[in-house]
Amino acid sequence: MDGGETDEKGLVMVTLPVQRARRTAFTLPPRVLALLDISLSISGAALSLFMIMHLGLLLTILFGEGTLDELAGFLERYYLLQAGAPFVVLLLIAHVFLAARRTPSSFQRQWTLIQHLGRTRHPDTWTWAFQILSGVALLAIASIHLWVVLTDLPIEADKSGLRIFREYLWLYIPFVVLVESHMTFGVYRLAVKWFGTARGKTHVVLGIWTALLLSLGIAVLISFYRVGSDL
Amino acid sequence: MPDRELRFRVFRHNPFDPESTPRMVQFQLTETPRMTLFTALTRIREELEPSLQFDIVCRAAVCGSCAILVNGKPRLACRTRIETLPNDITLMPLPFFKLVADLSVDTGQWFRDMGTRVQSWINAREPFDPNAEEARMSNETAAEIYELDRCIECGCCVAACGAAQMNPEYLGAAGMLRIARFLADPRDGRPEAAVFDVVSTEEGIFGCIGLAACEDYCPKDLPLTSRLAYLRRKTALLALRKSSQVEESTVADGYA
Repeated sequence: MDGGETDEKGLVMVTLPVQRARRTAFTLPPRVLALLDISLSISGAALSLFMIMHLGLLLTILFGEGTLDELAGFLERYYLLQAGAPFVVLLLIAHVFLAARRTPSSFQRQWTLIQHLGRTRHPDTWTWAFQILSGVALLAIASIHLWVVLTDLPIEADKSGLRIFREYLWLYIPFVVLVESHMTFGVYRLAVKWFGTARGKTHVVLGIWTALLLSLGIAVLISFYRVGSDL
Repeated sequence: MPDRELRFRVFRHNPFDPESTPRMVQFQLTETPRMTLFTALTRIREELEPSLQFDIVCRAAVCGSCAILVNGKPRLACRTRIETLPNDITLMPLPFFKLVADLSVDTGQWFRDMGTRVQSWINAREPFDPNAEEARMSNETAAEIYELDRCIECGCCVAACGAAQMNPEYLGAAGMLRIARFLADPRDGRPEAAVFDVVSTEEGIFGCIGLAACEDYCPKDLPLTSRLAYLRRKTALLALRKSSQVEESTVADGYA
């Protein structure tokens, strides 16, 4: 550091040296870290929006198989589904990688976290641990779901109904529950991290919202099961 | 409800004694009216085990030295009333910090290191002139600084934080609050690049995963999550907007 520079009043400007974070040539630059953190939140928010839209489309089954088939046919005829699906898959993969870097990777750190969870029993810390475990489960279930549906186009209510009635019901029950809860805790954490929202109020709003999504999701599942069982 | 028979399971270990091994020791006390954990610990030391080590100074939640894990949760012994606790009470030293002995940990060294890392002092724009009139500040600004300056350095936020347990270099909510305190101070003239350099790291704001345990266990009820969120937004905006300028000024100011 030099002796400082003189400003227009003739006063000497002094800047003190700042001790930098311990960093090597291979440490990520600050800007990348910021972008990774933003990307995790944005990918999560985008996937949440997609899931709400997805549920919105599925709700048509409640008005009958014909309505769903018409809508699915429309999306496929204009290649909206074929064009959109790769984006969703890429978004999902990006979200998995971005979230994975926040999870404890070494066994030592996992053990530290487990001990901390058991010791302090702090609810928000438990929901974060749930996010890690449900994230892993969702990656597996969503992969199966995407493969089964996208390799068997076009989407038809009868086909989906049969699939759920015959073999996949035990996959889709945890799928619906895990998706909704993972989404809720994710949105909650996003609100706390970026906006520091009043957590008590957020609990209530998100609780009602999740109960609504969960009941709609289960209603859709029951409708598909009925369609399958009637065939 | 006085007259309860209280069972204290207390962690005991002296890392400076080669013979010592970490162990839990049980003590029994009868509850007295308006008993605090401070009273209980003092009675254990005076009546049952004179060698028990723990830190207590002010008894009024001001000095921050009596923070311990009470049934796993970080709390100040002096302001924890026994009537709020069950009959079985487990006492452990705060994790994360260096153990001195039994329930006593060295938070001072960590806070001093944190203070150096975040430059916990006014970075004056100009040399101090003792004859000049003091610069004025609005009441709102002064109140905001006072609010952020209420931290008593007890270490509860760091001991409660899952991210800190997994990353010993993490600055913790106490460190972030300190940075926010100097950002709010108009007398402080540190360049944005210097703040960015300390905050926009895995040890800084991007080490935080938003568990909010810091706020839940802060005995002074400091607005930690809102200030952490403020720092995160500010840092992210800086990163998005003018990363090139920040990097240039970092080098030009001799911070590299």
